Amino acid sequence: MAQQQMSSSQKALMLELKSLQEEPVEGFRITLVDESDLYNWEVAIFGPPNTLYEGGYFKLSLMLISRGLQQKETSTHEQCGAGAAHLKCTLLQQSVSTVKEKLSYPQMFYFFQAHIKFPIDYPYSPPTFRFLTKMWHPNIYENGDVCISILHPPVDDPQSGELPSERWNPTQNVRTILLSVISLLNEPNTFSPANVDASVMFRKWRDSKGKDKEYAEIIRKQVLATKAEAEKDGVKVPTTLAEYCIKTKVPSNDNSSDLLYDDLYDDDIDDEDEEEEDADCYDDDDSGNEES
Amino acid sequence: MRVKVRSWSGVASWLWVANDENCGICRMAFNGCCPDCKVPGDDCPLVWGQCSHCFHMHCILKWLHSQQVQQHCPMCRQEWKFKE
Repeated sequence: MAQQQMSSSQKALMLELKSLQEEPVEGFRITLVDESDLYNWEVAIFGPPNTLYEGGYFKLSLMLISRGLQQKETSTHEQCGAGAAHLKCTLLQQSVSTVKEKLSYPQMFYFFQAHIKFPIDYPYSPPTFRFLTKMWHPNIYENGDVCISILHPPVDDPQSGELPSERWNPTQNVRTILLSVISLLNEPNTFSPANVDASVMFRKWRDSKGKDKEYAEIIRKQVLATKAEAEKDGVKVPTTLAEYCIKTKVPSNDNSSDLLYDDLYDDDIDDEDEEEEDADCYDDDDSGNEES
Repeated sequence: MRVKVRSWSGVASWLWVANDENCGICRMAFNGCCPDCKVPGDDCPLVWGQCSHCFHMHCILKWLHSQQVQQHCPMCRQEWKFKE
């Protein structure tokens, strides 16, 4: 049973990884922390242009953890109680435009890193999502854990202020999580802060329409700090909207399946034909031998 | 020229008629089977909810059984009821 669960979560993760590498989510780059471990993903996030995070380079992690461990971690999430973030999946475009109106910063680009951990019964249980880059954000804990309702298992917990229907379900996937995270970066949810100080500071910044610069300054410093990280990693952070928005490539890697198909139906058929002809000859020879 | 048919073998193909190609839960093809099964077909059937969303039976049952709270369709979050 355990083995079967392993293989079904592995199959789901393989498919997701393949799909995210062929059709990436804008601003994200996904790699495995260790090539042999599908449950442990590293995510690099580039700060979206025209936002406070523009020019940033952030690292996140997605990893396998045992069920027990996961529940423990979840309970720390739940401590934000009424605080848990209700993330309405705002479109990236929308969040980009909102912040653009509020503030414009000199061209600087941000890079974050994060890890995603997957449970063994994925997609029936949610992964955890943790920033490796230090983040000052109302909905990100000091340890980097992100507080988003779709990352919480759908238990009935009226204290949390989250409906079960706003939580994880197996049709969610890494793509939907990444979209939620990128929209959360730009539109913090102040109704349920994981970092109360950051939330208060963000509200001051927002309500003063950018005049109270404390929040923006902290983020600007963090953005600058990520620049060194990106250079160390040899990563070129996109600096224009055009670079940020990945052009969907004409499927080149996609051909792998076509190649297989071609092999089967072109080369092999030719070979088989030849073999068959050869075989016929031998048959004739054989029958000849039999007669003699 | 006369041809005598000595023997013949019939070949048939089947498909599930679903409104999507892949199961939203396990992400495998509907015409394949769920990750816990080995052979596609009647042993790994599809089921529909009244909301018209479709899953491998094994996948949706596994999800519904893991829920203590009300059972919802994972796609549209409406209450899950099997379509008769």
